[in-house]
Amino acid sequence: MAILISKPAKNAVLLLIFLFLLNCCFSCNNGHPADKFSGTKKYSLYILGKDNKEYILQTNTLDSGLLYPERDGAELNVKEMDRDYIVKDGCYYHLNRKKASFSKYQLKAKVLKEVSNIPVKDFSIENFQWLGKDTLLLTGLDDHDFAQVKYLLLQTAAMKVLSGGDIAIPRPSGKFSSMSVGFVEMRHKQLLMGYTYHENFGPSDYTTSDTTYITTVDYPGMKPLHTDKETRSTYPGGINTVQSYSFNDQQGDYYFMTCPGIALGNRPELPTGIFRINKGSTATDKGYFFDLSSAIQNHSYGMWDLGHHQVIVRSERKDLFKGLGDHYSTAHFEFYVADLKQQTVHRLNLPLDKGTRRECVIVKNDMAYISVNSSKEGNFIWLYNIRTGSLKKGLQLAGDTDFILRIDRL
Amino acid sequence: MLLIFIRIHTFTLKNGRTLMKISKELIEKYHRDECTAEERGWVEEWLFSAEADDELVLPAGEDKAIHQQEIWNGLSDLFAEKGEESAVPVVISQPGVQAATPPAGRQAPKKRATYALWYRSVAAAAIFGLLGISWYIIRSKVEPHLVTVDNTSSFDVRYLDSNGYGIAVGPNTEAKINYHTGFIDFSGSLMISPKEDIELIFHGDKEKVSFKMGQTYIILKDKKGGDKIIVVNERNLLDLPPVIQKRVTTEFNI
Repeated sequence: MAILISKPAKNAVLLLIFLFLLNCCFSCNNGHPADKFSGTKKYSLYILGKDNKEYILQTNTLDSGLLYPERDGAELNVKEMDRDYIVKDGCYYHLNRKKASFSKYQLKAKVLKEVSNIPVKDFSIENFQWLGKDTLLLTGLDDHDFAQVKYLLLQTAAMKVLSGGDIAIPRPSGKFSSMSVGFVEMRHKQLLMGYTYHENFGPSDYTTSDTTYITTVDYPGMKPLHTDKETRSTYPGGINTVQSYSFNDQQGDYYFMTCPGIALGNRPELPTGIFRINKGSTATDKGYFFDLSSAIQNHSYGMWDLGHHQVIVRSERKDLFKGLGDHYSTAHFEFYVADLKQQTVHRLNLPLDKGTRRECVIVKNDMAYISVNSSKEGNFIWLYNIRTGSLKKGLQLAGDTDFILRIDRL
Repeated sequence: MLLIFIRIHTFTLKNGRTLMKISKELIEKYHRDECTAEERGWVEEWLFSAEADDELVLPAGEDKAIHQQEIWNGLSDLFAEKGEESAVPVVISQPGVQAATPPAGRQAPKKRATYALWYRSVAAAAIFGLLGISWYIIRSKVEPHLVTVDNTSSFDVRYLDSNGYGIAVGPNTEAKINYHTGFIDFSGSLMISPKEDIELIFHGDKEKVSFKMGQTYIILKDKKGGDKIIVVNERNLLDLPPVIQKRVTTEFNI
């Protein structure tokens, strides 16, 4: 039969096969773990070295092993990359403010390569949410005054902008000069946006309004419809490209954390809390408030869902640090498992952790993988069995590792 | 070209038994090569002698360091101008450099084109080599030990440079920097990029703070914050509260 195929047709078939293989090599892992063509592994780790070099490593297991970033990782161009990125299907997405470019990267042969990019000017990402497999909603602020809420809806397969612009959320006024958008959640063609305002006094002195605002925004029209207010705590959520603060549980109820401690809202007299927006509602459940500060006697930052109404929260130890100057470098963070129904907490018997904001928990089935940067015991992924409550050391990051700054599922 | 020196005030330099009068006019004369040997000696001693800096007698209320910084800035500007106008040679020079530059009106006889090209190339190389040496000597000796900066702008950053480190002074920042002792008294925001491993002492802080070569550090201190100082490596900026981190990133264009 082969002889019946003309030479040009044969060449065309060969070309198609070649293009297909090329596409496999250069496209992201489309949801298939350890795709044999892309070479993408299951997990990604972002490392800050003792010499301040930064690396991305990929691995197929967090359960055990030993990795050296300088040997096993891709050293990053720190002028281009930082750890405030989004990971999906084997690709990394990052906004570089100076280049005014939102870029898509892929790790190949220990080199992080830019695959494509979109020019994005005057945009500082506050929150991201995937609205579909390759539809990404970025919510942010203008990057000079941090006072105008903006959005970008992107198609990440082709890396093109679907829509974008300002959202008419009230700008800061009176004594307030900037703002933070802490969470964005899609609910039946409506977006719930949680935010608050800041009063600035000096280079490192500011405070936050005592009010959390939750505005319902029409989607895709992006017109604000109505606003709910909360004064039981403030600074809702946080920048979720750096750390997680919210999730939907199995029943469709949405939980978000508020962080008034010095590392985020700087209203330390208010409690760290967990709020709930019930399924089908656009306002907080006024009968529900989990006062974490009362339970832990410290402020917390970061929340990860374990399922079954349980979360992991990361809490500071105010007796172990002096202020913002050593908040990130001193090992003082503890991990707690909090029960959202019972409103109880118990501390995990882990070494004290360092690094103020980190994406440091991955939950897979009954196992929570927790990265801990201990000044005394080194940098490990710890395995917390959600069912049995057991804890054990897993993968170790050694060599140049100073901080495991984030871990992601690819 | 010499207008850059207009801001130089007249002041007296006392060095041992000699009293020398340094003025804008004298420096202009120096650059026109019209100084007497004695005047040339005064200017060069004033420019190149670190000891002489310590003996400066200025009008009451005037800051010696600011005068020197202004002059140094002028010299820097001048060299920058010269870099662009490379056809015109020496402005500040060591004795002997002028000899390589024929005075106007006394042009050498025409040579064959190839010889002239070769001659010019060698001369240019010699001039730039000596310029480089002059630059190095001036830079290492004239640089003031104490610099006071009051950046009242709400938006702009000012940049200072020393042998040991470059400093970007943020908006609304007052800083007194002693390059010799490494003592810094400031309120506002600074960004420091050391060219070698250094230790600095901040007013109100008892311990020296180490800064590593090739790294960039952000230092923040509020007027009302007492002695609380935040020193953070640029690589740890995302650990600062986003309200601060976003402002620092924008101010210093990180």
